Amino acid sequence: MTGSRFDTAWKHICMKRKATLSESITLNEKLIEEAVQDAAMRIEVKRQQRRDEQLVWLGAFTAIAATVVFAVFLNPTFEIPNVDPISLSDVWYWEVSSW
Amino acid sequence: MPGRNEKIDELVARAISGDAEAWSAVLKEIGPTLEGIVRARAPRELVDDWRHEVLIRVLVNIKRFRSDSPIEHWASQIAVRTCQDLHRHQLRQKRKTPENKYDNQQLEAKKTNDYIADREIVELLLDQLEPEDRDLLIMLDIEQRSVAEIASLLNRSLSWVKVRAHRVRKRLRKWADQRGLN
Repeated sequence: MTGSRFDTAWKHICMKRKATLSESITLNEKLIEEAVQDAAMRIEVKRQQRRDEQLVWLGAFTAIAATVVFAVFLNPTFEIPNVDPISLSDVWYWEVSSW
Repeated sequence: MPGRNEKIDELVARAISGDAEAWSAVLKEIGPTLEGIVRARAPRELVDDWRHEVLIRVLVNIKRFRSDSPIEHWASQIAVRTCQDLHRHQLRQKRKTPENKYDNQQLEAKKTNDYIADREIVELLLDQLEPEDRDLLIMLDIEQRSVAEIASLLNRSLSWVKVRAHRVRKRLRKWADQRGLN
């Protein structure tokens, strides 16, 4: 395979890219400054997202805890009268006892 | 007088605690290494964008840095991974657009003996490899890193690097053969 057009092309690519890499590499102040600002912004956005997620979880947890407390400690019982289930207008007859 | 390593360690410690001045100083120290990685991988017209993304990701993740390896090595891993992500994104975009068809037509049309055309074909073929495979060849043949260093940067075993490199070279050569570059 040695000496094929592919090998020659690959050698040229490697040489060309190595030359690019050996050029002096310095990052100027402006680039660094921009990166620092954008990174700070991205970190702030992430922090805000995390805070929002925490609030959602806290809300969900509070709702579940409130339901459990209500169900276990207040022990509500519902008596459903023997009404025709199809007649929706009878729904208001339902009684809620032991509130 | 503290040595370079102590100075960097101190800067990194300050950067981890969120000192923005230390962030700039750390980037100045490790910047050239990261720039080299980006230049070897990014298309010429996208070097600025890729570099910017790499620098940001290094800073955003700096709190996760554990000093069991040098900061340059840790940042290089992030740079390599970021370039792979960006290349993957670029490949996806390319596959969606009809430009890719144009690339294929270009590849077919250039069956001449012109070495510049050959080089362009191989460059295009290289860009069509999966990001990790492309990185492997770049690190081995262009950056001339050792197998151990590559394995550590890619989080792979030594044998994986050797076997994979062999397969990727074979695949690239096969693609080139199919395009008449034999």
